[in-house]
Amino acid sequence: MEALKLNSKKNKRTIEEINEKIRTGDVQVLTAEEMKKLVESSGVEVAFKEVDVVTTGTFGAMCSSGAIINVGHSDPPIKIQKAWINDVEVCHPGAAVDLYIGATAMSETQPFEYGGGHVIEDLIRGKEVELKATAYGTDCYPRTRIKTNLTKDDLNQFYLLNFRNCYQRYACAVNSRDETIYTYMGKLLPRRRNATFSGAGELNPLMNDPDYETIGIGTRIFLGGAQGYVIGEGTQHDPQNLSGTLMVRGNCKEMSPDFLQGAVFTRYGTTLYVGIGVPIPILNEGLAKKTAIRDEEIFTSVVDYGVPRRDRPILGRVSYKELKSGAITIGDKRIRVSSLSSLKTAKKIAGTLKSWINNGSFYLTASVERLPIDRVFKPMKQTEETTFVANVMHAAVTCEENEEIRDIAERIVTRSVNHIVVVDDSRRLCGIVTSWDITRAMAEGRKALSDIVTRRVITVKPDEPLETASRKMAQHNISALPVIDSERKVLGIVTSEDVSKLLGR
Amino acid sequence: MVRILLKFSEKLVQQPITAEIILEHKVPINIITAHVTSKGGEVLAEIPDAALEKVVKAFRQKGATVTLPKLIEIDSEKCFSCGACITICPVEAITLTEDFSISFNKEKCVGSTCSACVDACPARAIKSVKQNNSELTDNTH
Repeated sequence: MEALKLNSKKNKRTIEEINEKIRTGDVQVLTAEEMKKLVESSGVEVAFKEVDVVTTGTFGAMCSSGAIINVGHSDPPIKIQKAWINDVEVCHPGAAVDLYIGATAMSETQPFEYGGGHVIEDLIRGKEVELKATAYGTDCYPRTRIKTNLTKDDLNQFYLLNFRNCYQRYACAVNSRDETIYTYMGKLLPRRRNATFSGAGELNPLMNDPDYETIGIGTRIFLGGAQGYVIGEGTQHDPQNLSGTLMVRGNCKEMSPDFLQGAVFTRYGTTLYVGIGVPIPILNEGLAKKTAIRDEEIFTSVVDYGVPRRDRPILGRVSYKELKSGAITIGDKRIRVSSLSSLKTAKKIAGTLKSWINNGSFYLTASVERLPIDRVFKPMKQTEETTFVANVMHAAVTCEENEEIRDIAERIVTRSVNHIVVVDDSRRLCGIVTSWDITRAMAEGRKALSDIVTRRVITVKPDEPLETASRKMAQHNISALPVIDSERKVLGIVTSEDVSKLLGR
Repeated sequence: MVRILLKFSEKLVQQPITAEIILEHKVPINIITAHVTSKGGEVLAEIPDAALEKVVKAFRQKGATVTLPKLIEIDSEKCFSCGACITICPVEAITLTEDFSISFNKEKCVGSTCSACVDACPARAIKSVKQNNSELTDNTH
């Protein structure tokens, strides 16, 4: 009775009322974009009175995605131990013939070009895929290998089961290193020459209901072009940091490749772009106000992905308005910024969901349990010590550029090293010479050191993990890296011998 | 204007052949990009359409290889309009329109001498393609 009284005063609205309006064709739906304009022009009160549902949308790379499939039993039956679809290894977490296609698993024949995300997309497109599987064979499942071609129609279940999607907001990435790096935030040019960001800002589902008043287990959503469901909070859900996530499920057989696409991040791996739209029922004035949030009110950190550590340096704070404008300013530097998510598709999702509700093909659900608002995202507990460059580096044998090659040769012998770091009078890095460079110079009768110095030196910082140093040496086919500080002053050197000594320990 | 890609061998790099051709034929040649070392060079140049035939002939006579540069092509079927390529482009040939679609300006693109956008595309929708100009297709020189 209490609810009815409140409803009659029209300061509350229920999901049942909204669904009744959908049935009769009287429902008022706006996309998040339209809602913001309405609130701006007419105020929250009017917006609450007039609008029943606000639709949101986002379309971006969501790596923690995948699909569970059941391929049925073969004759004689097989208890699959290892399986591949189009050469992409798939997991076999269950009994005999249930497989999970992870979006980031890569093809063994075309790694970094084709992966689980592409397998899911190909199946949705109706393409035939090749399943290969091996097993150890049991009394009840005697078969030890199978090879067959399948389409989605041959699968019993084909469900998207994504354990982390739809981040409320995400960091903006830059790279302060002297070299281009390839990350899950895309290609980042050296010396902060570009920036990338992800997320739809004011169109993002969770940003429009930041207290998760209406989004929870059982919320019906737009997922990959079909109707799907929220099945809980996503992994790494971090609500207190405005970084909530969703776990979702939907029937792939009904999905569209327009909203679910395999993708590649060069030198990082494969992933799946997922389209998600959540309808926000405007149950009270508070929700009308929350769905009016603008890009200029949503801030995120600019993070230096050039530092390969868990806690990467934060270089500044920017709004999604700045991010969507194409350039941000950090300090006094203007940096061009690219989106990795598709804002065009995000808008299309909000629009499609709106039309579904308007034409009576999509009804809202009340969630049976809200998403947690107090979860904390903890770092990994590490029981083994990690080694950083600072732990293994030692003093570098140095020289200055005006020295003679003969003297350097002598130093190499007396100090018994292979690398001499060339510095200026304030110990700033100028170059490097190796014992091989010196040998060659002596053979060719050269005298001046400046003719043989390598000036484009690959370096490391003391707080970089030793793995990074060893990766750099392997990548550039070199055997030592000068360790420098932010002013390029030489702090020491780390060699491949240091790395192998440690590994041999 | 039409763009041509010139390749010089180690021997030719020492000689000022571009300057000679400009003087001999009195044609303006605009160098768009140039990668030249002692081992050889690759130069992307722009010349007036009318001068194409004689300039190509002149460069070939002097021993340079002349081809039409590959430009990039964005497959609109594959592209999902994220925009990851935009800031990678050094000449701002790729931009976002008001409705957040990708717009590509062929005139600005420096093509195969750059191709920085190709590996930045998560949809793998960007490819290097040969510029369409039949006059230069025979390039067995």
